[in-house]
Amino acid sequence: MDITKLTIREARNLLDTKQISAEELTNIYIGRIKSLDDKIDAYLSICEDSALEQAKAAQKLIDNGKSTLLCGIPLSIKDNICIEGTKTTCASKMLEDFVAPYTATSVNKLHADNAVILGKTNLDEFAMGGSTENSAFKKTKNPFDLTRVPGGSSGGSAASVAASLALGSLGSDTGGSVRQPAAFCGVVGMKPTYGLVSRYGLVAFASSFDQIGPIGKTVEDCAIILDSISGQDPKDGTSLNYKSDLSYSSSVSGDIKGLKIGLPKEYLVDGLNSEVKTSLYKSIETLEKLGAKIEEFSMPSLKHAVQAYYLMSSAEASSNLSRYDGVKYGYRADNCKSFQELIGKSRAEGFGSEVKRRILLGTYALASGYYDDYYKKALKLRTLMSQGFDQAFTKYDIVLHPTTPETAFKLGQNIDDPLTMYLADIYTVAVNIAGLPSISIPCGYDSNGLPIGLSFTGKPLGEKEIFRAAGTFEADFANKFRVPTI
Amino acid sequence: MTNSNSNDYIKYIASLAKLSLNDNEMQSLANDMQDIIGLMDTLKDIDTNNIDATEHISRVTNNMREDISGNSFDTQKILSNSKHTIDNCFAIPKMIE
Repeated sequence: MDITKLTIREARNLLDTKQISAEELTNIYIGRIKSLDDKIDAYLSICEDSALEQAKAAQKLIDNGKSTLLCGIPLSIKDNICIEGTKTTCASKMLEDFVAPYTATSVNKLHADNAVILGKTNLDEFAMGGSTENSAFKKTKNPFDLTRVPGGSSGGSAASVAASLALGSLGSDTGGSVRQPAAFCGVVGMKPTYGLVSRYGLVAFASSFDQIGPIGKTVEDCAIILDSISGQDPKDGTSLNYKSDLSYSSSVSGDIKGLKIGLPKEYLVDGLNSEVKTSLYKSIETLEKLGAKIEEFSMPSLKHAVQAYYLMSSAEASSNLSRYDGVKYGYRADNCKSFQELIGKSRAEGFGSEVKRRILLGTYALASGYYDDYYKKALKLRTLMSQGFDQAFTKYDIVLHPTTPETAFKLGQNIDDPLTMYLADIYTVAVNIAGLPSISIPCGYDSNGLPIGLSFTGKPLGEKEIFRAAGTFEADFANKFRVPTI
Repeated sequence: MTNSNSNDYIKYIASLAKLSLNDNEMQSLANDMQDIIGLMDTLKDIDTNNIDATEHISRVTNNMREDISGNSFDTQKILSNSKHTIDNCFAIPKMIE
């Protein structure tokens, strides 16, 4: 068994045919974390004891022939998703000591399917960033090149899967935070339709954008995880009352003959790296060879997606993060003489720079005299972008685009340049603005051997279509797929 | 907005956001904000006069549950995440003499 190439589907087969036990599998991953995570720094905490208990319980079910697809499968969880009794830090000094009093619905669903939770992974503080360098605790490295970032904000989750320190992971995606690190780390990352997965227990960043999504080595692995975590939840008023007629994992195979794919012209701009562009066009040739019909279309509002996204998401963040006052939970500044001083100092000392920038931008956009010019303007652009996608989906089944304009950059390269970091989100944020499903899969490697990601975006609740298209492409790409050497 | 006006305004925004920043940090963040707001200003010329605003993309409206009381969290469990409690209450500095 080559653990670096093992998928959830293959592990399922090994477990069900008794070639390996759930405890043995979990121990392999814990052993790898102990020996390799010093280099990667994907994890913020490990749940060794509970993981082994979960593996033991899973093995009993397997022995009784009652296993589900995730029974005994070791997964990691981004550290902004709550698990009762364990620390949920959001990689922030603000929540360094916070122990979650309840478990997120998505994790409860994984528990119900007897998955094994290995630990909590690193992220940009409160999921704000695209490199995981904004973590207050450690900098995660890209498994393909330890001098480069893994992307973010779910950088720890993507790196844990790429480095085979977990078979799959849950991340969260507010503006690309599952898909961008998946692209940088050469794995598959999927952002579901807004409302398909409950947000209960996900620490809020921008509530009308946030969505939990799976990261795996393959499209099928992401579909298997999505089958487990999706579904309506009375604890999340925005969760959808929707049940797919077929499971997502059974929707991955098939063919894409006659599939109509649109490519937005606005994404083929100067900032697109030439190697990423070449890889995109090679992927288009492959998709055409497989029977898809691809044409370019124009959606002018996409040019403003980054600005609109940062205004709206920061406005929501400034409101959501007002709960951190040093009183009920979280960091509390010492020796404060008044309530106002306590709040102001706790927030100034507890939050990092990027979180402060977003709070300031959000407060600015909502302030009297600026509301119409910034926040309301962005909301109107949200309407235009939603309408633009609606119109595109009257002609196309899927919208195709690069996941990122460049491959993984060097650690420290952009840390003092927030504007460059924001503009790099150009291809991912519109999906969140419109609440659409999207999946990023590896489609090539640049001259430095760094992975390149390709995104398939679907209509609302069009998960099955994007799984099928991405799965068909992936099958053709299988002999070129690489795993990192650590 | 001029630089000095901008810095004053960012100070005001920081006070609204309850962030007690020191002078160095205030200056550094004001510089960043100048660039970031410059990027946001590129939206000003787009004509959106007859466009409705979309505040939330959710495809759900009024997803109500039955109004039945349920179990709440254990008091000690909730208080355990606070750095300072007194008699089962969250504690803050004295506000009234």
